[in-house]
Amino acid sequence: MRLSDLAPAQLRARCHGGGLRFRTGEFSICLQTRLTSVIDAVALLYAQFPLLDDDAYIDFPIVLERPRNVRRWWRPQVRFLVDGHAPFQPLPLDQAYPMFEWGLNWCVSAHAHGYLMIHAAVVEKNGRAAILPAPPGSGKSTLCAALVARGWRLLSDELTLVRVSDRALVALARPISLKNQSIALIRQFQPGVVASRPVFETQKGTLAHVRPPSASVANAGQTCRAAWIVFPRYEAGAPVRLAPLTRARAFMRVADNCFNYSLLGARGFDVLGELVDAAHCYDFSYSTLDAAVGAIEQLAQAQP
Amino acid sequence: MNSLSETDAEASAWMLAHLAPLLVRGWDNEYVVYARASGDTHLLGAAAYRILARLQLARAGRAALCAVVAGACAEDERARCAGLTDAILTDLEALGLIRPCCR
Amino acid sequence: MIAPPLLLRALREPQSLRAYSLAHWELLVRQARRANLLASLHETILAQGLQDVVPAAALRHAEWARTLADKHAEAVRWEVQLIGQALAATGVTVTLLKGAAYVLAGLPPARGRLFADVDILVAKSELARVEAALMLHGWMSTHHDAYDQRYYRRWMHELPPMRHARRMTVIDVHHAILPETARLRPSSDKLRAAAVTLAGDAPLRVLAPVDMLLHSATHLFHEAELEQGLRDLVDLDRLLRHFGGDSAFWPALAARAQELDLQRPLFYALRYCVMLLGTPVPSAVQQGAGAPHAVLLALMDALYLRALLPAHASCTDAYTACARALLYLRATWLRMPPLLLVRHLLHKALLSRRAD
Repeated sequence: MRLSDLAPAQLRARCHGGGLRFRTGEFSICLQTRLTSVIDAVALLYAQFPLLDDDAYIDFPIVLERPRNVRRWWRPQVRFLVDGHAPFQPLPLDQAYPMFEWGLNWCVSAHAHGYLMIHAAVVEKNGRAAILPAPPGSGKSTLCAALVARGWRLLSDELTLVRVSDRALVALARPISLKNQSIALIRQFQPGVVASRPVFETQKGTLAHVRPPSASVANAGQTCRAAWIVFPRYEAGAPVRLAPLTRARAFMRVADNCFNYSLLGARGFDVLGELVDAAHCYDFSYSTLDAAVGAIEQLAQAQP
Repeated sequence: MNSLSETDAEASAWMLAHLAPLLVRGWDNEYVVYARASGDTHLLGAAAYRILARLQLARAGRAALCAVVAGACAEDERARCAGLTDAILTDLEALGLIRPCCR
Repeated sequence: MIAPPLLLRALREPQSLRAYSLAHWELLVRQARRANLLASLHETILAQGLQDVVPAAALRHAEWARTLADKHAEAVRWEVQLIGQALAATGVTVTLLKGAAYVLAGLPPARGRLFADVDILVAKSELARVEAALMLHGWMSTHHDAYDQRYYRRWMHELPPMRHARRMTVIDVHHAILPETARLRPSSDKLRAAAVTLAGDAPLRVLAPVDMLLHSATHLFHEAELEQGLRDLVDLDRLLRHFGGDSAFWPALAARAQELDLQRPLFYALRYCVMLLGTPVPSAVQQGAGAPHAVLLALMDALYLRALLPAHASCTDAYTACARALLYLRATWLRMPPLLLVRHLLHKALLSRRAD
């Protein structure tokens, strides 16, 4: 059963009560909140995600609520809690749904050390994945959304997870976050894209989230291997360029983009070494999404 | 003469800084090295890697390490070998990967 | 009164874990995580051979925590090595305290433990030399505020914590195990004199077993913030089980507590280890000197038997927050005379208002 199988009143009742329980790929969530903005966004963007029974094991029990103090009404705020613990300062109430997404990212990156976790987007076609590691400003989420719009499976726009036990790339398939101009760009690129309403003036600017394709969600349990590691950089007016990168240098740059490379120690070295060993690595600059997607497509077709 | 150069060689011998073996992966003459003791990861060129590989076997003096570096150098660079070796040894020591034996 | 939390039952009778349902495991993992004992729970699971019995969904959370703890232990070893190198030239004998001591001495509390700072003990006369050597090797003092500097140097028992500029690791350099201003004044000279040298190259020492136990007990029962309280109690439990196998340990412990005037903290440590964790302590030792009079004891029980539970919603009742607050005041009172305490609390209150 999926979220979309629940009538709005039922979905709301679960959020208000014992919690809305669902799975996002590798992790199970229980969400309790009375905030309409969150419930509406989750109903829209997680429509295709599988519901869980009441007795299913929940990895992250999440609550989004208004503070009990004066900030409940005066310049209202929202708090994010996981298992009763608030890892962040409250944010303006308007940012409740983005806070849910950021909070969930934090839950994974702060705890899930059974995976090498790379701050990167990862998409897949024909069983082979492209990892797009991402310092800020690289445009990775926009590029990720564009690739997904053109048929690539979404594993994640933010958290690339390599399972240490078997080196498999695992999926979360959660909504893709877009900032500022990217929102309009993707609407142009993919007319009819389903997205949350933009939230203004967050720390990252204007923010909106795009619904993942049903196929990506349905196949979230499917693992794959990385064939390419591509470091994207948006550069206004620049022609598309894929410059091969040596594997040793790619290794160091991916390590720099990891949440827990150091924490994993020797195991992290081994997992990353194997990842890089099996992949072709590139620096990638682009200025238009069409050209960028085209170049990645060519890459996928050229290398058997 | 002989004993002087032997003492000289001993005095400038090098060894790995820690007992725990280093983890290494290499592609196209570039290497990434993980040092278990410190948890640090380093990117090294061919010459530096060869020095480490040589020291993994046993401690070695400057002359032996020069020869190792020469093996990694192109013909036209061999003249600069001694200087290059010294520079690499300084860097590797600064990274905490090697240390002089007799200090 | 609160029913014994799952986590305590698991610690007291690990074999009972075999019968836990998925829901039990889910709650146990959450309690353990809040108490900073999840990696430690993983150690218990392995030690009891329960890997195949624990549901995979729960086991992986424990494994994730264990990965973090293992990294911490590696990092502590490396940090201690670098500290040893930095201080080698000073000729100062360094005694490791708490977590770093457990790791380097290979003691049971080290397994599955998370570490923050490295704590060392040196003679008061050596503080300046130690501080200088550390600064030479890249450590910098924190707490630059004049009040804080005075707080640490004049009134407390340590230098302000020093952070390494590149590694961002922190070292706490103590010259005593309690502040100068505290009511109890256990002799640092005696502690350092009895310290045991560790096997290996570096001249590192740890406290003698009875002293290590007394230090841990003193630290916990002078601790203001009790979020880590259960973790510290588990350390004590493990030390007691480890050293207690030697029958000579118990009389030596009682005698040393008397000699160092630490009978009261030892009394509480033994009492709550027995009551909460079922630690095997000979009854003669439990009933030894150090007990407060009955009314005070009843109050301490009411406070500590709440405050030492995991900091998780399932382990609190209406009085838990109040218990923690009262023990915070008690600990601060124990560490400072009243006038100084008032001044200190006022300063902190003003500071936090300014920060808002």
